[in-house]
Amino acid sequence: MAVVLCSDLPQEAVPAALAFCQQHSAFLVTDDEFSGSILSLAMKEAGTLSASLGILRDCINRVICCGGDILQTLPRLEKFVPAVNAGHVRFLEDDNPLAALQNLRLETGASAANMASNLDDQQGLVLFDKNWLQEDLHIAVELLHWLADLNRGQRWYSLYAAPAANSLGICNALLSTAGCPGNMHVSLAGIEYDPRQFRLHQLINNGWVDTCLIAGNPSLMPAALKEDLKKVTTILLSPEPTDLKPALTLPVARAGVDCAGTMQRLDQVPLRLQPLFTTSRVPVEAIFNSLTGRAAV
Amino acid sequence: MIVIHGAEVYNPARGHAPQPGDLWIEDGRIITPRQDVIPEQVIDARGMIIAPAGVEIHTHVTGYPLSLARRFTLSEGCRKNPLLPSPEEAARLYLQLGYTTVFDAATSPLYAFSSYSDLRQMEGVDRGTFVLAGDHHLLLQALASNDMDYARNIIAWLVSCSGGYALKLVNPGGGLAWKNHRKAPDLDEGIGIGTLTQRDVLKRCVQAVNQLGMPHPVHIHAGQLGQPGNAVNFCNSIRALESQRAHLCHIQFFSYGLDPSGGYRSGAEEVVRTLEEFPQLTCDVGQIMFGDAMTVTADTSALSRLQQGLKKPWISNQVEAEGGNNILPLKYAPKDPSNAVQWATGLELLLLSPDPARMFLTTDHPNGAPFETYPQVIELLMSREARLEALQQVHRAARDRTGLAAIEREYSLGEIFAMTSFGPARSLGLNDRGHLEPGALADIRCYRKQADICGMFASPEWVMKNGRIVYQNGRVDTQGFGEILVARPKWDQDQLPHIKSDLENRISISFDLYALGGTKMENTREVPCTSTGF
Repeated sequence: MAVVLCSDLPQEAVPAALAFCQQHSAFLVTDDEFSGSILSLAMKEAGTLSASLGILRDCINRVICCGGDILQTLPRLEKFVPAVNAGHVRFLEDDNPLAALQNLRLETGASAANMASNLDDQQGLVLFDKNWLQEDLHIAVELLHWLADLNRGQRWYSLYAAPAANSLGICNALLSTAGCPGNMHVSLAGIEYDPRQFRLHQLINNGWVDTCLIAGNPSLMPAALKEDLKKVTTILLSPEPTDLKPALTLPVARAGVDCAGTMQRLDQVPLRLQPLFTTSRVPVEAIFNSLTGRAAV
Repeated sequence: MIVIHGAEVYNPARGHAPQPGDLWIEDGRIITPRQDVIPEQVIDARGMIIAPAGVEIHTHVTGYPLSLARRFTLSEGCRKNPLLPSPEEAARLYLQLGYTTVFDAATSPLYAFSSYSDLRQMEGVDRGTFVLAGDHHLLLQALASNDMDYARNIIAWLVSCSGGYALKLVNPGGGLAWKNHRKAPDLDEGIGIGTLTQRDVLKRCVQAVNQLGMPHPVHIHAGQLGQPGNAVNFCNSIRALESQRAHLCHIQFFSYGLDPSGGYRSGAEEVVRTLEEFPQLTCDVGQIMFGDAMTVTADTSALSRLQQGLKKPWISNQVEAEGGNNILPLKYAPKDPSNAVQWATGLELLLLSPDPARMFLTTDHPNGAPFETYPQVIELLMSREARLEALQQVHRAARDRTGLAAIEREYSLGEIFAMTSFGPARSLGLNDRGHLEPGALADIRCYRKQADICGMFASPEWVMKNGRIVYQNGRVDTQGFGEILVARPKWDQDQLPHIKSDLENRISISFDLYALGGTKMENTREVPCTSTGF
């Protein structure tokens, strides 16, 4: 069995899902490998410098956007980064991101600094989205190395614009509880992490799983992967209907609507959401706990 | 009622020598032996050593910085990560070492909910966390204007709303300096807010926390961490506290002299001599051990300097109204002269310090080494032969630039228990543990007596929490045990609008969501703020 944690879930779902996977010796993956394994492995290679939004509000006077439409996906960013409003924004073409980054890195440190500004008190922000985190890691690593280069002379922070509401919260909760951000096999013997082999399409097409339990709304899942899911039995724990046709759907509560839950902001600050009203739907972690408890009996 | 029969009992409240006699337990606590009752259970402990369970005063096992650090340890294949266990694993590993109380040393208010989420997973042990405020603009402003009443209220509110147990200062003003491209301030240098200096921050915060009666005094990470020659600054920082109660953490990293070569030499003697002038202070050592480590610190100034030297990838995340979450993987090598001096300096501090109930064993996990190396450190403290043998294996700088080789002292078992149980519990204001007097929690560790010190401390025969055995024969039972320990110092609720209006201009989050955002914590125990020192 594979359990898929989707990026609209609150982080409270993670320990419950892990316990369930351990009991059933199951694979655990997320619907957003960009925010999980790919970003994590790139950070391991090259490190990164970042900051909470309050710091950025106070000190950023230049912004470089890696991704043409990134500002549209972050409509409230200008509230925290006045440089966006002031027009101090440069966009990097992403038709060939690797080439663009390699060219930038070939420039001298002075050139890199000039690219942004000649101001001595320059502090900048590089925003990037999942299009710059390609599966082969090269682009992500190159991007973070470029940031490190920029930081030799001046102060450049980075922020990753994750593709879904709580991509980063799920990733961090997995790192905290399991030690890795997804792509894992969980059993009583321990956790095996394999970001290459333990991907959902591999698991299905290698015949390693016959059932997928999808928790949350898999809105990030590519169409091809949804096609793959037709080869196995799927069970969906989602707050709303999806375009999947699962064998069984259990509606669950949504954090911030009919249950409490913790999501993480762009800068990974945890936000505790409270329910607006009460319904009969239960949080997804309650379903996992119930399934785990029943199997234990 | 339970009786532990026939063991050699070490009760640090009554000195360092073992005492014969049975230990009686009822309802999870030690009681006076009864003559008139037949106990329900007698645990045969002949040939065993009984001591109060360990109390960890300084470790890093929870919160967002640890999630960041785990990215550096990702590798394909099976995962067993002694350096960065999950919070749940950490609790189990501590229990297996005989520790039943664990304090994580740092949480930023902004990320307090991440720490709380992790603390909830640490079933089996009593646990808590310290709240960072050494760069908190609101607090620094109040200190700068010498408005001590307001400063006390801010501290009390910050600790309470973050679900913390104590106040932690990390190189006060250092984070602020880094963000503004300035070098970290020296003790008497302005930190950029009025005329406020680091000395002022230390002195006034210590005073405020002691006036609040918080169970643990201010937990201080001083300035100039890791710099050759920093012992002078550290001793001056100690004097700046002006005989007030405080705890100084991982002091090995602040106890270096300056070798003529520009490198490290031990400053342990000078530091211990200075500490002896101030008996109200407690310390933990932050021992390094050779092997992999992970630097996890809010001290951005120190870590950026180290990173520039090593030129290795680091993760740095600056936090508004606070320092930062900074991560850098390290490997301490025995043949590296600097690492060898650091290793020897830590041991020297422990061996020169006359009172083990004031100088505690920590490795600042995972900064100096994993906490699972405690048995190895204990062996080095208890056996001069083991030390001399180890000295032969490391760079000669450890012999030439420290006094370790000449120290003959060997810790007794009683001193080890004072250092790992009684002392830290007393410093934390937890008078119900760390000893075996009637009324104490029945948090107990039991060892089979043997010549192999390291082996003995690595493998307790059993460990008891609240009168129930939670670890024995490799099995850990954590369910239903352990609470989150919090302190909620009194503060003037009328000050809340004032705090709110001052803070709202400085943070990027709604005031109502700041820290725990009013979330009601579960499974907590409030330790009263009635401390008058010890």
